Amino acid sequence: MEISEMIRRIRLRDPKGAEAFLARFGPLLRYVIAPILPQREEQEECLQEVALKVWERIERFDPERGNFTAWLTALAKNTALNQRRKLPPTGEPLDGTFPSPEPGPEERMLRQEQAAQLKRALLELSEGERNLFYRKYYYLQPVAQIAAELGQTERAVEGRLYRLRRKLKDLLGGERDE
Amino acid sequence: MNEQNLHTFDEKEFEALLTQTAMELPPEQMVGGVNPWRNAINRVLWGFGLITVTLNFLGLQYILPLLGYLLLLQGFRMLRRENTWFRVCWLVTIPRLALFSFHLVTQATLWPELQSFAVPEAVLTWVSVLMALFHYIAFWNALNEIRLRAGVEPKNGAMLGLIFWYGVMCLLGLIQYNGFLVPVGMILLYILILRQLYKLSKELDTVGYCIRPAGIRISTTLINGVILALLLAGLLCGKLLGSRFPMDWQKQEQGTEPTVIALREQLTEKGFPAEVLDDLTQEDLLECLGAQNVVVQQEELPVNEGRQVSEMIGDTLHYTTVYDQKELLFTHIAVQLEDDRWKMFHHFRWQEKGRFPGTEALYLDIDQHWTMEGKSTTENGVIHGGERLTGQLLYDDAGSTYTAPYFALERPEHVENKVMSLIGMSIGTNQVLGDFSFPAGGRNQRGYVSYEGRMNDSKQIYFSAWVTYVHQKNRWNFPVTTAGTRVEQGTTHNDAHFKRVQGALQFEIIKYNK
Repeated sequence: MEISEMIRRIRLRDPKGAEAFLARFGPLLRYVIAPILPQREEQEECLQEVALKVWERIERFDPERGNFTAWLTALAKNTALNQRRKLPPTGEPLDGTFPSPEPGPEERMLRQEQAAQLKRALLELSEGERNLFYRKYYYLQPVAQIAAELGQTERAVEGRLYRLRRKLKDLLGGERDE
Repeated sequence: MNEQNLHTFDEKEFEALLTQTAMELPPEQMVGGVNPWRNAINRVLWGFGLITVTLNFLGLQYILPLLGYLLLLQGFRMLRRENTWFRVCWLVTIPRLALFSFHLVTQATLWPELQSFAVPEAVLTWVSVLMALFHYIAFWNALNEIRLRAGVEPKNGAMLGLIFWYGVMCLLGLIQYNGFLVPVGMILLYILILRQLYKLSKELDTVGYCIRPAGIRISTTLINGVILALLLAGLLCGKLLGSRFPMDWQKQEQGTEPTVIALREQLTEKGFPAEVLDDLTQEDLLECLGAQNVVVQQEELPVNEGRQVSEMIGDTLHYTTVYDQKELLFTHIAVQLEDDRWKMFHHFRWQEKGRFPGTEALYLDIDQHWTMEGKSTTENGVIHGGERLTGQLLYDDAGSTYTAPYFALERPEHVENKVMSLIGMSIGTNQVLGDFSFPAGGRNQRGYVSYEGRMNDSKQIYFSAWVTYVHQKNRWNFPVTTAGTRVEQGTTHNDAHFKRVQGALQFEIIKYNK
């Protein structure tokens, strides 16, 4: 079933559309959710929630603003992050790489400004560096997963991330303390 | 952000900032970029493309397929856990890469020139062809399994097209098709097929594929580095160890029978150079029994490039090439026997040492009015001259003289001559080609070729035989071409790897006819 046909069926509340959606996009959604929710049960729960949101929010998808896969991965990632925040503390130290809860209005404005600056800085990176950035900071993939998928050792990936951060610091401003 | 000095942030703070900020970024451009399926399948498709379409210039016919195999290895390594067929694809890539590497290494040696290598080479070629076909079929099955799992209908058109395309290419190779239009069409078709496969794989992007990332213990860079290092080592070994013909050197035994001694004296009296007599086999010497006349011509020829010297003659500046050394001494000897039969000798001697000991070739283009005597057989377009076409190589070392027969001494049915073929003519069949190599050590390296016959037209005034010596200057030609192959290809000019030196025996044979 073509994606456009699948979307049309979902909009018409056709169960076949939902079936086709899960069959086709299930693995992609699991791929996006897994780095954020390592437990299998949490992943399945999140997957169900994403499917429900797609069902309810399909009208919000505008093909002229981006493709369906991008919209879907953003939805899945945000759902997983929300679910992650609701989980009880495990006693392990908080991972500083996970974003903080919903910001206030002032904080939101600051973040938008920062996002614009970061977007400009990302344009100056090579495609490989951008790819690495999104894997680590957007898709929140662990270093082990990145290393396996890029065919590199974990140490090599950590080195690349370190150099990437230094480059971004330089691009985003600020003088180094020599 | 520009108000903050980010270099004062520690790593954790900066990472948290990046993560926070990244949440706001639009994601659509990067979905494909992080998709592990897409990374892997792109490598596979590029790999198949590079190993199949070859460009025969600047060494790309070796570099691109090597890159292609490395990409296939990488791509299938990432996909090997997805299903059995992808694992099979990965496993088949390894021996295919090994075979390609072996083929590359043999190109650095003389093995492809050896008759004994013909059968193994044919077997390996067929194995390679069958493995390639199996590889495509395995890939087709792997893709279909993925599509079935994703609930996407399998589309077989592109893969069937690829397999059919490969079959046609094998057929064209078998019949040694030399045309231009069909291969161009096949290349375009191949590009279309690969494009279709790429589109199919892009459909599967949306499925994502949770390629279960296995821990990488050995990085791709290291694997590629090891493969390239092994290949380089193989090429170097091939160049160092396989760049000469295997010759059968034996200590020379001089004939001491009274007949031989008496014959040597007779020939010396008639003008036959003694140093050449010492180099003849006993059989060749005895063939000269009853010699009536001996004609000797000597010439020293340079193998080096000489030096340019300028000289004013009148108002004009003239440049000439001066040779301070003339390394090759040719001695051409014609021995008249009974009944207007002649036995010819073309003897050469290296007067200088310190040259590269690679492959050498001695090529004779004998007068077209000459009839070679002796039984001969023709096999695969090559006339084997029988007992009247003889010769040997010699060198001295530690007080002893060593001799060996030529690696090959033949009469090729046809040696291509590009100039002659342009005007619709071809060279006749009175040609002799000898392939040989000298050892790295030893001195006074020399040899000769001899043949018997008679002029088939008694009114011919002159006899002429052109002698070309082709010397390999260095080991860096790739793929390896021997000096003899250069002759057969009809190449008439010198180049970075080979030097041609030409002399001739020409004399007024009619003076000696009865």
